[in-house]
Amino acid sequence: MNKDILKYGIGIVADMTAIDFDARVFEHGNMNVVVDNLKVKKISTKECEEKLKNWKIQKVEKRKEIVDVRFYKQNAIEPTDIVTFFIPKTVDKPVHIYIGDKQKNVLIYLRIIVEAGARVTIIESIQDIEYCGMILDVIVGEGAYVKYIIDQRVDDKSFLIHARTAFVGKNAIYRWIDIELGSAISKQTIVTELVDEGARAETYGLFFGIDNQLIDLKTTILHNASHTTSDMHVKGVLSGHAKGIYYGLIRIPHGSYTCDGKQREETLLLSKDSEINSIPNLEIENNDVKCRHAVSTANIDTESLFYFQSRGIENDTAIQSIVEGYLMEIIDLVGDETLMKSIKSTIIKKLK
Amino acid sequence: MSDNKQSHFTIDRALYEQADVDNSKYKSSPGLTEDVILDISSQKNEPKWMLEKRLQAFELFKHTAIPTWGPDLSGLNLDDIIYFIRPDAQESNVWKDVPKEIRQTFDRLGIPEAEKKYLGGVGAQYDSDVIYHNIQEDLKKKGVIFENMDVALREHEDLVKKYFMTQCILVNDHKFSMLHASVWSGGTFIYIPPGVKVNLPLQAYFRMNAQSGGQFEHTLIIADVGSEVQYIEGCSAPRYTINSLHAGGVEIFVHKNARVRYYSIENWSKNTYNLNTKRALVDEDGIIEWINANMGSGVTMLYPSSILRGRGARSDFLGVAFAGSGQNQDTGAKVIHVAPDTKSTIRSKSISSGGGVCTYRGYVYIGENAERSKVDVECNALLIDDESISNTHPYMKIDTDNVNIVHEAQVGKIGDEEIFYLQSRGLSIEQARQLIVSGFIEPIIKALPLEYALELNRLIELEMEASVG
Repeated sequence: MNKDILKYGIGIVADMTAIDFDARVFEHGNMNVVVDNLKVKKISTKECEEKLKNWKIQKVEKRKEIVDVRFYKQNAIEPTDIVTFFIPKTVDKPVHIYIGDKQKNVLIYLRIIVEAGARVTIIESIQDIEYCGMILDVIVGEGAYVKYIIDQRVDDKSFLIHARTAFVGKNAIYRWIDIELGSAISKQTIVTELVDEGARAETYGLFFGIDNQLIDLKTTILHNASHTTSDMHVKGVLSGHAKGIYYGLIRIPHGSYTCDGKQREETLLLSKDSEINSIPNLEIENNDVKCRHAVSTANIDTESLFYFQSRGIENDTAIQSIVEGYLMEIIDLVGDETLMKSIKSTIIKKLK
Repeated sequence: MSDNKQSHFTIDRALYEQADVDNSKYKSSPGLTEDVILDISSQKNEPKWMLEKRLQAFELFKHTAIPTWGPDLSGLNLDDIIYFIRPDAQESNVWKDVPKEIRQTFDRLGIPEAEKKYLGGVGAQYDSDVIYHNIQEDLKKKGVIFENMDVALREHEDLVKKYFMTQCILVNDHKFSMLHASVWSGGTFIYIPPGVKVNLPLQAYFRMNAQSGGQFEHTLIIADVGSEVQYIEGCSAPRYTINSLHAGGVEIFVHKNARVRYYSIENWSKNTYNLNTKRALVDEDGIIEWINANMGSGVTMLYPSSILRGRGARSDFLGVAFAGSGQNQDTGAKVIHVAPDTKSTIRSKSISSGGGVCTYRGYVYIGENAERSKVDVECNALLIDDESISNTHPYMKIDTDNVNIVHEAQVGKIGDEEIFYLQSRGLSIEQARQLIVSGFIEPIIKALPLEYALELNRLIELEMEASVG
């Protein structure tokens, strides 16, 4: 068995051989990270250590939720190589992070520390790149609110393997919005660890795969403290020969009481050759909780199309409206009008 | 009220866990070697092809590793298990001919009474051999075959050769199917001729008695075109300090338009490893219904599978698992849709209490040509206390569009308000909890024949009593 084929249990595999790791020369791509917000400062390792002295942050290799660290290990990044940005309480505008652009095969370890009480929207845009391996840690201080939008619309030749972890402090709210539209292979691991009481995690995702795209999305929420809540909702559309893998996990360990977790995943299949693998998981070690999950897979039924036809709307337009309406629930969460418009136009382009 | 409470607890686990004097006629030495297999085969006077199958399976078994996913199997020492134990009894179809000690065991479990009341036929297996078998005359006349598997191999060799581990469960499937194929003994063989409908359920009861024994019964059910049958299986074992192993195999063939309902109530003692393989092949418009209750055993790994290979085939699964202290119930269902218009439903319920672990592990596969398939999966888990664990791991692989798949799962505890309501009506906390749990598993209880429903209800009450009280 080739080492680049990931197995997720019974017959579910993600074939990463197309990335061809051996043929690539990787560069530490910290210079590829550009942040455009004057209030956000790059801080030194020493300052970073000082700020994180009360946090328990495990090394990437030790985090069980990040499957197959092999892909990240080759980053072989020393602690001194980690780029750390500090977002202060005074931040008032959205923070844009641009990744890529300068080199072709990059490895990045990015760390973002959000000060207690800050309210911020972070928009991450990945530029066209051949290969981008990234580890991202976001540390969210007490009572902060962070909305992290991943705007992934790279060209269909790019390979992305990203492992993202958010550590959410007391009474803080963290919201991921992952928009996965581009790339040949995109493997995203999105973990939210609710570290202290009252923290809330929301993970929303949208993926649309066409042709031979492979989208492998793993979303995890760890309720490591009592009175924490979470909501997970992923919607996907697949057409052509595209393949999707969705792996979701809510874990409530022993000792975390009155937690509430929700997990939903829905997929719309537009072609016979598309394939979806859904693996929603719950691991509950405690009875004082509320936890549920649901997944569903469906296609556009002929009746809906007939309805549109009877109103003089052609099939293509009808499908476009249905898909748009279907994904709107997630797109609406982005909030930023310009970004929403441009995401919608990418979706319409993909439908043609 | 107190009378009422009394009647709730008339059943006692000791009923199942009390061991009889070990009067076995023959026992192989512990551990599995080729000699043991040759011995089993020659004692049974088997045809050559069966021995070859056993040896082939053993060869594969030696080279296959124990699965590492799922529950921990490190407590299972395969070299300690005695693979073949013959009780000192001949198979009989007259109840009083069964040796007294063995008869007492089954009397205690209520087997012969049940037969008189509502069964079409019954079989009872004690360790490796079937000791009693009976079927109603009119069924026999219609051509229904209900036999001990060993007898079936002698008398209906062609049928057995065609179906026995050839297409449903394959010898090389996994470690424990290999083990099963090499040392299988006893079990049930059922053949229902075309168009015959058996109204009364057929039943078999499996009992492991010898210490550190292994039971490897093989059940083969063939429902020919347009036939119908219901089959009930009950299992128990006394409690010893050394772990015992149950690795049975159940193969069900549902031919065109046929319908099979398979019930199984497993109540092995808590030091039994229950690593069972159950599978059904369903042809055009056939229906398989699984009703599964897993109460006993220390570690269970059981995932009844349905392969829907004919257009319009259907599978319904209804399961309940109860994990008390020290138990790990890793159960679920698998459905493989490889034909158009196939439908399946999975309803799984689990209760974890006293630190027990319940895991739902399921798999749904929709093949490329399985258009217009429908799947509905629903899992519910109830956690009684904060030491217990519930996991849900459903896998779904969908290779075509034009399908409709829904999965839902929910984990929770018994609501304080519900308890309060019942308390305000004069019930104690324990009674209230039991009532809620009974309501929770009601869909399964409803599907069971009356006697089994009562037994299951009482067993759960008993387990709850142990964990809550």
